[in-house]
Amino acid sequence: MAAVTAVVLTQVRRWSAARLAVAVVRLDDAVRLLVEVDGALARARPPDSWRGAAADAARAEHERMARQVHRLAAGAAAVRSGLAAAADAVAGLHAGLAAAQELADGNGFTIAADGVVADAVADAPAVAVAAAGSAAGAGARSAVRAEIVDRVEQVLRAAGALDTELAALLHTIAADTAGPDPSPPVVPAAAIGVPAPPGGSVADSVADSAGWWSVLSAAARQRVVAEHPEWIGNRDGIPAVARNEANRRLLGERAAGLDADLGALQARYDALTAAGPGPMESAWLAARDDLLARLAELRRRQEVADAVGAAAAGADRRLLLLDLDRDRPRAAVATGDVDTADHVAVLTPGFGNTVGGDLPGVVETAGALRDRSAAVLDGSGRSGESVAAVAWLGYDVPGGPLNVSTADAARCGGADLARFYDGIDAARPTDPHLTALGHSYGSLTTGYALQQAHGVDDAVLFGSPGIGTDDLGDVHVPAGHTGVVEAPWDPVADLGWFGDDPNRLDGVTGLSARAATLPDGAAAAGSVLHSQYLTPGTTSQYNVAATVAGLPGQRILDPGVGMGDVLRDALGRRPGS
Amino acid sequence: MDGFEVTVEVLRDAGGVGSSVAGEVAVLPLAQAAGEIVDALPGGTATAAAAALGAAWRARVVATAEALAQHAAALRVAADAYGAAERGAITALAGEP
Repeated sequence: MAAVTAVVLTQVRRWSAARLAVAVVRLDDAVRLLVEVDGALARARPPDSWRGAAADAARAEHERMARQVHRLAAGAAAVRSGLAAAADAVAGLHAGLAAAQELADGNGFTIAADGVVADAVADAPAVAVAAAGSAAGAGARSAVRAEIVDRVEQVLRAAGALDTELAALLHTIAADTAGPDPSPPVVPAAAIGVPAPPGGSVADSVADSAGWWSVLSAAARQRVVAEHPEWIGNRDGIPAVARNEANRRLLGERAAGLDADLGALQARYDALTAAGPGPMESAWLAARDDLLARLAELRRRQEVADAVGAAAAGADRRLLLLDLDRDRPRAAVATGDVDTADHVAVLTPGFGNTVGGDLPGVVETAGALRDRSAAVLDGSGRSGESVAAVAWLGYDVPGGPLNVSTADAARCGGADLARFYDGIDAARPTDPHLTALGHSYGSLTTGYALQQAHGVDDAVLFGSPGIGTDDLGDVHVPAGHTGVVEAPWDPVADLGWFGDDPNRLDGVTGLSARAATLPDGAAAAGSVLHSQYLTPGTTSQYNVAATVAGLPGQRILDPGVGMGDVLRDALGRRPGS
Repeated sequence: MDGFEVTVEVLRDAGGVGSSVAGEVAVLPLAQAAGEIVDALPGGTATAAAAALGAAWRARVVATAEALAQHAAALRVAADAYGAAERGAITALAGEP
């Protein structure tokens, strides 16, 4: 394919989907007329009863005429198809541009005719200080500006690709039409209007991905889901509904592939064992053991795929992440509509959780938390607000004591989790109230993520051995919106292994894990040790649910300082790595 | 081939159809469609390609329509010639003693 041409914003603004649609109508008319002409010519073919040299010459000329008509019809139909896709694509470009403009207008930025994004607030010195407010505020503005820039870039990138693809098609048909011996069109019109995603990697900027998706037409999006689900299944910044559809398609393909592989391998094993060892017993044994090992591996993979399928089963579930080819498979499942919910929570579990063994349980826990949040909203007269909760196993959750003692997995996972948070915001026209929840080692991953993401409104860390910093100012959550829960006799929560004990950090809000009477008069049970924080009926689950619901005033507070803290103070903190 | 067979009226009808379709091909709105593309995407490389396509379509439409018309005329001329020959033959044969 030819290099993509550079297109400027003023051009894109002047492009007209309506005029392309007019061209489509004209070509429809042309194709219809050519079909009628072709039929008339067929009826007027010199009759076979006419014989002789003149008859042969007349038939040859007639067939040449018919071929010309066919070529015109084929060329017109190919261009018509390409223009229809181009009209959709131009509408998508304008929609993407409008989204970028709305983001700019709503945040005090301007998009110049040449595409340059300027901060109207920063350019007005008299109000700059008040608007920026703080370093955190300036960082958030910088992030918004970057998102607008990325979106404009994606509009221009898609516009350039569209221009290049359409030009190639038109040139091909022009050459075909003008040539002495026409050949079939070589550029499929179907390729028009479906540019590949930026960079081809999920590691690209969330705003780039959101911008790319925003410029695709509805038809192009459907084609991406159907033909390139791997482009978007794990791509942060793409709406959950599309990621879910893509990942379910990929999961289905994987399950079918595993079934086929297992069947073939089992047949080989059966044939080998039926034949018996024969004279070459050692070779036979080696082959048998190899097949058994491969069968075991395939069955393990099948169990993981089955676990994801079970976790994602249900009309209100969304499969938002699917990466099963790793040594430690990754997946994320939402309960509720992440694209539209008023409140979205992302739960990151910790040590020992695996997709194959624990995903369904973590999804159930997140789902129960969502139900509890909805109940809290109901009880507060806000039943019209909706909640979605995501179980995110999108990092290499440590599986053993050696791994869990270092922060490496949390640091790497934190970068991915930050992109996931930002992607939820970027994929929606309006940001939800977004709450980050981290348990155990997952709270460390959450802590690292919160030092990079900018769209999280509340955070609750429970059973936390540290969040990767001693300074809550490093965490991009509004002041007063980071909660910590520490249950009695939870040894992990007192480790302070990866930074200070979170319940001792300046600025955190201690949430109770003890038995309590809730604001509605109901009794809630206390939770103890490390794994009961989200158990239904507990005060700790209620407190997390109230945070997710955006009702901080209804929480039961408690600094959670217990015997473990006293002992730790006496013995001194052990530094994390 | 040494001889020929022909149904003169069939040839004349074919010529008539050829004239008719030549007129339809001549007014195909292909070049107009290409013009709409030029107007729809100002400034892009597709615009130049659309202009080239419009020119190619215009030329091909004219050439095809002319070829159809010429072929139709040739069929009519052939029908006339066959008819005249037939009439001449009838006259000649009718004059035999």
